[in-house]
Amino acid sequence: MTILWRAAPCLVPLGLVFAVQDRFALSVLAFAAAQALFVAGWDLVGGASGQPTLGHALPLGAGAYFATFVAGWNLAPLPTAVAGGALAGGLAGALQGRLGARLSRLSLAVVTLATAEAAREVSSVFRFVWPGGLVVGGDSGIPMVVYPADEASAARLAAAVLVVGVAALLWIGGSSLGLAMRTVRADDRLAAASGIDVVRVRVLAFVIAGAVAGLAGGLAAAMTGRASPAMLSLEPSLFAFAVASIAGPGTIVGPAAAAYTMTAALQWLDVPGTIRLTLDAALLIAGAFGPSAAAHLRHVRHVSTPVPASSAR
Amino acid sequence: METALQVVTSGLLTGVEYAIAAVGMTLIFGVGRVLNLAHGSFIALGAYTAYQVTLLGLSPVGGAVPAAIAGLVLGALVERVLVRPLRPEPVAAAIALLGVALLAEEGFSLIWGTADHSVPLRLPLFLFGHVVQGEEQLIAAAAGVAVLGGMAVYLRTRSGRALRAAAADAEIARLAGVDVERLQTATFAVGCGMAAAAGAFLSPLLSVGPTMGRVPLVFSLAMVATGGPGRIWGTLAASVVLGLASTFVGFYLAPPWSYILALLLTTAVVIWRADGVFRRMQL
Repeated sequence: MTILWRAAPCLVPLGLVFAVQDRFALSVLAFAAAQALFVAGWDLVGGASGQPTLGHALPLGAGAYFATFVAGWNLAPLPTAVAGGALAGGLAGALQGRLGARLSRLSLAVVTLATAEAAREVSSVFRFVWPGGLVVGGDSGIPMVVYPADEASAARLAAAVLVVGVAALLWIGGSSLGLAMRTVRADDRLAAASGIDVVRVRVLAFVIAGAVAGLAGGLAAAMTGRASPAMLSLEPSLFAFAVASIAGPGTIVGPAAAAYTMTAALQWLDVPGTIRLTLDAALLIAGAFGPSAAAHLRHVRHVSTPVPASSAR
Repeated sequence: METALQVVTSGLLTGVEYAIAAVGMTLIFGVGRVLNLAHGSFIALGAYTAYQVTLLGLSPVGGAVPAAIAGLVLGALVERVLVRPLRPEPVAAAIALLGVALLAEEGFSLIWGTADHSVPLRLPLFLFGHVVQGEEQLIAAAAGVAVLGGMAVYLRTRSGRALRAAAADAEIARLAGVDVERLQTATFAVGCGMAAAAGAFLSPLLSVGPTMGRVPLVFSLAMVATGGPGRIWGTLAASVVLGLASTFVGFYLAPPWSYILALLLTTAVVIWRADGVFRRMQL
């Protein structure tokens, strides 16, 4: 019941897409929903489990590229391709989680940043022949058939996915796994002493958050008709970090609502990219000084050796 | 054979130039326990200063001194306003510095525009057998050796010993009468000044644009992580080796691959080596 109450604000985007008729407004809301889903995913790993990743763009981009490849080579229908983004995102998250599970927070931030940046650079280097003889890849990315074809359907799909995604994340946050994540975030040594497999919990947080980000990436690629290296760049990760830092890290709904509102407002007002980046920078600095973010970043990770799997909860 | 020799010479010179920035970063980390993720912005500041100097008809290496002064002043400002209050929270400090880097990118694009600029060489080329080197790069490498040599001498002075003491254990140094806070501010400013000077030296090799600081930041991170965070001589050696390796990769594959190499190296070295240092320092 509590989860339903906490997830209630997510019904606002769903109501909005049925109330709004304007095509531009609908496309803005669709993009905002995808962005909010991405930030909600970041909040599970960065906020709830206390792993400040600066490379959340990696699962986002992985999801986007996966959906584009699957759709482009007609390996599966478009909805399956988009949903498959979650699988690719989860795998990318698993890689980051595995690499960073035993690292200090500072090292984790550097490693996640480096992995996402490496993926972005690799994606901008490769070019290949696409079905139909078109050479794709590089900085301009890979094209994809736009799905859903009209703005209203896209906005409704994105809003529905956002509601389901946030509800699922809230459910996970309230489950025994969520409790384990919060315990690990607060004090990993205490968590290990309580029988929690710290490494497993950390990796799982990355996998789940990565799957959510991958779904958001698949959705974004389908709606914009393209997966590009920009999706793997530092900016989306910093946006997620900045928004979650000021909107109550670990609450899932707070960062998702803030991301939804901010993205919709910035898109609607057609704010230039430079001002958006400045805003992100200001939020990052403000977030670093903010009490809630500081409380999340303060805890020191102690555990460098995994607790035996037999003691996992 | 001549080509390989040319690449080796260029790689060594580039490594020495990068070493100025990387040693600055490792100094900041060693003394202040802060990972300066805005280091690339100071390198970009130096490169833009060099670009501005070339518009006056001078050589880009002439921009190193004004760049270093600008880096010193801005570095001190950033340390006092942002880093010092966040020093107990190293991750928050690193994130705030990343915010500063983004703001700097916007500042550069406001002043110099969003387009990339190239920095022309104003001095003649030298021919050593079959190896060609620009006079600018030779001066830059010589200046790098002078800066790093000066650093080695400084560390043996009374003030340098205080710095080493603060790097080894700030609390003990404080008890021994060292003004650790002042030293941390000074080190941050000097480290940023070194980054800006390195940016001026490296400017003819780089495409000078608002986001240009990201690549040198990653290279500096890779050098610091490989050499051991806080270890000056390790960082110096790593800089030369990585400068050489990146030049080889950039020449024989393609320039983006040298950046990918630095990123993968950073990932691997942070996991296998640097994390232990961060952990010991409670970061």
